[in-house]
Amino acid sequence: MKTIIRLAGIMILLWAAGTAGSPQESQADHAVVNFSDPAKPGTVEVNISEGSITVRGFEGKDVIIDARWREKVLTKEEQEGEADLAEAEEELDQEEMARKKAQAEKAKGMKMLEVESMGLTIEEEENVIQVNAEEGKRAVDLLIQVPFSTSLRLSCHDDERGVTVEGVSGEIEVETSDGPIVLTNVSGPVVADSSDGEIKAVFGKVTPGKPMSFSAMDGDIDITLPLDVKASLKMKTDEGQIFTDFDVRLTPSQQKKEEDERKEGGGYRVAFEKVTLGLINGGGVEIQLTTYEGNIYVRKAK
Amino acid sequence: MNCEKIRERTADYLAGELDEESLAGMRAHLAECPHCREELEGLSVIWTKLGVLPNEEPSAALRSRFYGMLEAYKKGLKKEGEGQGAKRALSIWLGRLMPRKPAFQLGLALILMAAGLGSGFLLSVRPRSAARAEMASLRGEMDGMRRIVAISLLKQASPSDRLMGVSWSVRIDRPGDEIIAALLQTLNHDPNVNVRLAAADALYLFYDHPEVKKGLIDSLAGQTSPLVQVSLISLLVEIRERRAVEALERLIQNEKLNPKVKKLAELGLVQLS
Amino acid sequence: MDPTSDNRLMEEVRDGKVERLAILFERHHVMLFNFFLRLSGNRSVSEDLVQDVFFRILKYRDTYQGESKFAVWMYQIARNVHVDHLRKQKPEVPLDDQFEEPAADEAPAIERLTSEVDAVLLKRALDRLPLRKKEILLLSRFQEMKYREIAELLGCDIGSIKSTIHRTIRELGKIYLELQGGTSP
Repeated sequence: MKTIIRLAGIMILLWAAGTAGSPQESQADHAVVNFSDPAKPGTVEVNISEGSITVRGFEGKDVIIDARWREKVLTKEEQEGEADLAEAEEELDQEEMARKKAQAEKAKGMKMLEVESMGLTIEEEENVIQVNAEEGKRAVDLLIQVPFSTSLRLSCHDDERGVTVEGVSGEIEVETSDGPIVLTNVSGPVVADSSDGEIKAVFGKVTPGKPMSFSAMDGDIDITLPLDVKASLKMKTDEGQIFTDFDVRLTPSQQKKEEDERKEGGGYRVAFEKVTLGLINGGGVEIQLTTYEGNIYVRKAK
Repeated sequence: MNCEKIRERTADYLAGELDEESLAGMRAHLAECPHCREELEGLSVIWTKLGVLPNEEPSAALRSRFYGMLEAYKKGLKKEGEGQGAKRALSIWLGRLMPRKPAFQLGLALILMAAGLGSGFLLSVRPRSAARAEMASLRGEMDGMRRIVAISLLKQASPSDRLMGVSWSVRIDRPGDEIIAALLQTLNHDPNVNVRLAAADALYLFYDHPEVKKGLIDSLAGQTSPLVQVSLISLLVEIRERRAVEALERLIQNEKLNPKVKKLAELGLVQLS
Repeated sequence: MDPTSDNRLMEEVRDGKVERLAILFERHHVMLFNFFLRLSGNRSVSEDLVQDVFFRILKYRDTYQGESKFAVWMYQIARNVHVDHLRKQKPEVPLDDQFEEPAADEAPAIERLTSEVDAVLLKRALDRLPLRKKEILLLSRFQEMKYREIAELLGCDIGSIKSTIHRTIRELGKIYLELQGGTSP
């Protein structure tokens, strides 16, 4: 059973008035969504381009979504551009005309709500809630409260505020391009990557047996693990440094392949994975940490 | 609905199994009956708390014991097939491995430990020469199982499971075309950057397999993530793959290319020429 | 039918493709382990019991009929394995009165968060439930079986399962509160 909710945001009225220099007011939207089967852990997927995502775990069965739209101040040029676009849309072809006519028939007697494409679509199907931002001009800051055991799949591009998650114990998949990823009091598994941002994760505990991976192109990766964690670290960095206050037993990479071409006149070559492998407390959960320029920090929880 | 009916429906309510009608009836009653409301809230709290009780992980020995037993059973079946006293052969094999602390033969224990993950992640396998022949056939069967597990994991929705799938495929001694194809597929199409990186690293270890070198080169053009591009460039330079030169040149001409990746690609060209 | 479904896989095991059991093992062994762990409180016993379950699955694979869900069949075996284990330990005590003492060698968890303290207390409260009530609760809440399936597994009617759940959660809540208040050892 699929449930679809559309958050419209009544921004258009404010925007129209915006040209007269009205105050910056951001409109907030609020929605409560149930999982099909609240007894089982669910998944929340969020996909936005401009904006930020904050997720907090709480003791409840539902998912509560608060969206705050950022008022975007348009320059005079942009305003003119918008006007031009609006005009162009007036030129409709025959098919469009027919469709509009049919629509008018159906809507007879009803009010049309000004819903311009700047909203969020929220869909729920079989315990997966999907939140998508429609291709719009408004950036949105999302605050989402989820039951503790929810799994998350979060994606946020083009924004400096990034993704923040607190107190969620399900699986977390996060991806940002510019913004930082900050995870606190999570138990994983976590699979995270960022092109320009940094990644910070503080684990309350670690789920054994489920591999994790963190990759950052520009930023640092900073993870804090419980001091009794059993982990097998696989760390790779091109230009950064690796720091840790754990007692890590470094092992030379075992993953080597030997090639002996001496008989055919070639050479004897051994290929190594260019990684630093280390065991914490004897080894356990596989954690892969990869950066290009940033540093890698693996901290003990105090 | 009365209090009695509420009690009858509590179990279904907690499990989320109530239909709309009953749910509505329940809500109506609860609105008026503080006693039932309190009771139900209390029960819900416990139910929820139970739901967040963490799962524990068994030791690596459990897996090796299981696979050891499965191996022995299959061997027993084969002996059965060869007509060697059917049931007896089977029960002897099973008997050998069923005591609480199984008495493994020589290097068998090492191979089976390596079949699991966890600390086995970094373990190397060094069978003693005496048991080598048996090791070879056992390894073949191990590979078969690892292949099934790896392929299945690579298809899962959870990226952590797919990472595990890549780990399993690395442990296969003789990866066949199926595994190589699955890894290339993952490298080129997996939606998650971390999983693609892991696949690239895994393929690097199998670079002597015919499809791999070409696969890595071809993959470069299609990657959009700078992290994966960096990884592929490094790998191609590492295995000194001259055929990559053309791909690198084409990459450098891409205007949208991340400048750091461009620098690395240029360096790579120098090293390969 | 989905070729990778549990039922299908078990049918293949029954029909000779024994290596398919590996996938069923990978899918279910952690949950099985936790089922036994919550029943017995002892890690190495729980590992032994998991091994026993898969051993019996292999031994009795030709009896698999695929009428009920694979999980239901597997947990039937699991319960039998557990019962046999209990009988070996204290043959003179009737099963319903048996409690398993959690092993003393379990290392205490480092408690950093309230939710962790909660978990420890809740686990202790679970330990104090009588066997049958605990089994039904575990099968429903953790192994995620429908009440109908549990009724099938235990051979009783669905109504009694539901009322047992109600009573068990209530009892669990009471024990948990007592432990929180520190009025019990």
